[in-house]
Amino acid sequence: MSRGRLDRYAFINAKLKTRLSMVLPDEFFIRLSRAATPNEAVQLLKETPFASLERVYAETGDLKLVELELFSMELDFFREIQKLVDAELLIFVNALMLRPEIENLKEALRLWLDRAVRRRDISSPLGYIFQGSIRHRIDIHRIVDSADIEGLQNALEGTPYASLVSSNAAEILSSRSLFSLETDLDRFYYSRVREASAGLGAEDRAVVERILGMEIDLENLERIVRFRSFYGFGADRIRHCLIPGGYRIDPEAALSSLGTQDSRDLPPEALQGYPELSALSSTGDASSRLLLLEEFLRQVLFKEVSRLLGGDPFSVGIILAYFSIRNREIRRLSTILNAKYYGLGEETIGRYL
Amino acid sequence: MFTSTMRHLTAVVLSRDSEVVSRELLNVGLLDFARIEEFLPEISSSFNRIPEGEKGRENSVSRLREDRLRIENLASSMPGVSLKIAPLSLESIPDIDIEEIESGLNHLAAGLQDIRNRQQELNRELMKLEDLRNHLVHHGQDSSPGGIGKLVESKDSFITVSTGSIVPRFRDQARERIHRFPSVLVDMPEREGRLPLMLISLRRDSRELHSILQEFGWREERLPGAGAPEHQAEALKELDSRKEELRKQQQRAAEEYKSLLEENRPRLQEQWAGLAVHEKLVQIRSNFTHTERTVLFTGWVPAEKTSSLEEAIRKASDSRCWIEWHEAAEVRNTSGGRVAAPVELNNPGFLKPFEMLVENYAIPEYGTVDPTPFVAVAFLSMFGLMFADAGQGLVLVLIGLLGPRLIPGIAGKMRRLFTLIAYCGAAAVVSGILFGSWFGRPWLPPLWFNYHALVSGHSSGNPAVRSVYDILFITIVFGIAVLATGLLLNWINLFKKRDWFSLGFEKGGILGAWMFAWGIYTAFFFAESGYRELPSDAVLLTGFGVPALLLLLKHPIHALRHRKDGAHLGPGAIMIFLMEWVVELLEIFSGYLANTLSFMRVAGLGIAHVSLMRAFDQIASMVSPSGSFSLWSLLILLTGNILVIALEGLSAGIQSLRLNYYEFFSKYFTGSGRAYAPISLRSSM
Repeated sequence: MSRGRLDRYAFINAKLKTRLSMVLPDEFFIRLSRAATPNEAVQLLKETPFASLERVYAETGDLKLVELELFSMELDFFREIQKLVDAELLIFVNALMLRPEIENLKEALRLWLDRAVRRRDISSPLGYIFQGSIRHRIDIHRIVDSADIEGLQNALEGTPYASLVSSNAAEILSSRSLFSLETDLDRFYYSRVREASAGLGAEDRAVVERILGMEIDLENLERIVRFRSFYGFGADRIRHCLIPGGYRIDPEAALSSLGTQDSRDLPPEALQGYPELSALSSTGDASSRLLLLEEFLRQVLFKEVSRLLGGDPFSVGIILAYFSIRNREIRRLSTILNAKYYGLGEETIGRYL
Repeated sequence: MFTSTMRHLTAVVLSRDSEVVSRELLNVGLLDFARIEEFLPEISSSFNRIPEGEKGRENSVSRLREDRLRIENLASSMPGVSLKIAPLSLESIPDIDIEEIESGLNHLAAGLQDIRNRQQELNRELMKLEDLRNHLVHHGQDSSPGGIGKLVESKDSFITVSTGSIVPRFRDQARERIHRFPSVLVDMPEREGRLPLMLISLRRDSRELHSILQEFGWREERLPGAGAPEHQAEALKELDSRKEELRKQQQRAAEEYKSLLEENRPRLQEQWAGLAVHEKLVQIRSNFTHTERTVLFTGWVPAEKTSSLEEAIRKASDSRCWIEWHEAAEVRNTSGGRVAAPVELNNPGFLKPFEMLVENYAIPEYGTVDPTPFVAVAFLSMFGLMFADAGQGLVLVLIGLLGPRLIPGIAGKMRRLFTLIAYCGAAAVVSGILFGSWFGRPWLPPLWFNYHALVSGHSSGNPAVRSVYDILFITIVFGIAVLATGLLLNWINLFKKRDWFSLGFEKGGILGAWMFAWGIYTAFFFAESGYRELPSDAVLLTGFGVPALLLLLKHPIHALRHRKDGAHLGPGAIMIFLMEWVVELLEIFSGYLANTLSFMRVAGLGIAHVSLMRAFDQIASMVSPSGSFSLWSLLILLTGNILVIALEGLSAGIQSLRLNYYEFFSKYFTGSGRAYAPISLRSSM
């Protein structure tokens, strides 16, 4: 192993593994899901690294603001890594940071669509969207308040997202939906991360390709199952929703098994690449199929990430593993708190964790 | 010197007395329960865990625990409140009604949640007003050129402005209804019996607002001057004032939350204590085994406490009981194996911090030497040698003594850690006096030798210690003493266990120690000869050859002893024995050498400590060439001392721990024990 990789990753590896030892254990989430009220659930966070969530809730009583604080904490994880890495790795970490920026942007765009295109009343105030800068200076107010698509493009000027809005403008107005734009945003994210990994060593690039590729596989699988089982789309319509660059799944091979007609049939060949999933093609109804698929996909990715932790400590794998595990922790917290808000019981919550 | 002697109790009482007996067992808190299945698995199936009459009872340990934890969770939002206001006691705890407790908790939780929900509504109102304000403050400017009207005309604006008039007597009612939406109502002077109003709101709410205004006789009119910049400023002022009012309401809600908890505090404290006690009672009863009319329980008690426990059981059962005691060595399971007794380290209070260090490593095996007093001496000696400064030691003593008083919430292990810091400080004071070091300066003459002078290349003042090599020699001798103590403790343990084979052949046994001792002699001989000569062949043969040859017998004897367990001596056995012998010899030589040389770090760290202080001293003298202390030089010395106390203190502590855990414990410590854990009112939840 080259001295370069040792120099690059030795400290980060030690630091992140220490941080990972503070990740909330499964027993804590079980206890959280058993809390009788949202207030009691949030109270449990007081003695954990998520104590600031309890403070926000105590001041405002608003779980949506707690989620916003959770989002801020997720950004803090990225900023923490930014301080630890060298210039080449920083490019890669900055690319990874596009994901929360894009998710935040999607929220703002959805509000904009409701206001400006669908002319609906918006019940979610702007205060629940993160207003600060993540990777680019984006004025969320300006986006949400844009009167039309030109206004939206102007609001995103200077960011890479303006061109994506332009190229999807007609589709947005005709379909009154953001689906094509959101798919392009996802594609943009994965292509940027790929480009950013070019500056890393060969072994690191291989790790990135594998993890990124598996994430893309999982996204594509979810889309295939969702659009086929729920909406009955044919291959051509689903093709436009898929993201290129998967690891095991060849989208064309999967799509070719679906045929050209709209149908809700899901042949096992559509889920090839992950043979464990083939049984899902005939399991239950569409909702349970999707739920099982999502859970399985999460487990697959988590298993891969856990392998990274046990593998070469001096590789980009530790950073990817750290983000993945932290993200999972935040997602679980968010799921349980939302479930408590809607009065769901422990058993129901367990299905979503 | 050894772990506390334990005795095994088996007792049978009548079922009708089991309730009273369990309360008494909790009260005395001496019995570390064992399971009958461990000793008599073949008959334990004849007994029940839960008595017939109690099957289906809802007061399980888990339910009690959940409710107790729920109260702890609620209480955590009452800062400074401790649920444990007094030691738990059976006398003051009535029977609990768990349904009533849970109902009360649900009621309280619902009340608290209601307050939070109200806070949420207030917060959403606040955010809506903020939304409207942002629109009014168009592009960050407080007053748009052309006033509100211009703002409304803007394509990006989502504000709507309506002007008209209502019947004046409905002013307050209209205001109250309109303000349920993010909006501003600007009054203008009354005229012709009507109250002119300008309504600024979000476009999305305009339809609903107009229908409200209609109820108050709204008549749409153009109002001259409406929408002027001063109206925008007035609107912003009103919005800010309403936001401030909402914030105050939120604060009041937060106060209400605290008050509700405070009102319930006494009840919560009482319920928590009741749940805690009953949880322990149920835990005790879960260890009972039942027949139709009797209850059987077993467990371990320290030998000196057997009479008080027996007396308690007899008193509670009115002597309607059967009690049997057995020594730990007599207790075996049905396959003949020993059942391990739990281990109690029974040291005086001042040794508790070192008990904590031992337990952090592992629980010693039952019946072996309690390492605590030896760890105390070894740890403090090592620390003192590495951190030899009386002044800095005093600082550590102060930190150790004052820390628990100044930092709130220090209890249990943290408190013991501070005590340990104080002890380390005291050891540093002693060694500082021995080596004449006070905050890095020789203000008083040393009682042993001048460490600072020696490191600087000057005379130490003691002819026996002439150079840094002598310091290394001292620490090597210290290390040999520590290792020898470890070996001795190992022999004592093995002797007690009558494990003659290990006593003879183990690495820490007699043969290993024989080679170690001869190795020390050889090394000293070699050093004293100016590194030119080894002892005679006869001496070397006696010291190394004989034990090495005897060790050759170890693995054959071991194989023969275990032949009936399936081990057999095949043709390849001799090769295996030879290989194992060679590896064992290498391990003994390299192990003892490494362990001994490891103690040189004590010298290394001590020298580093002195060197650091000298460096700061030199920097201080560079800023005060005249020799007297200036402000800057004092600051430098102060900073240097703080840094050294922090860094060297931590380093010395860690290295002392490492030497104890690795070098010292590896000679004798077998950590296969489990801690003695009786269920008592004093034990932690």
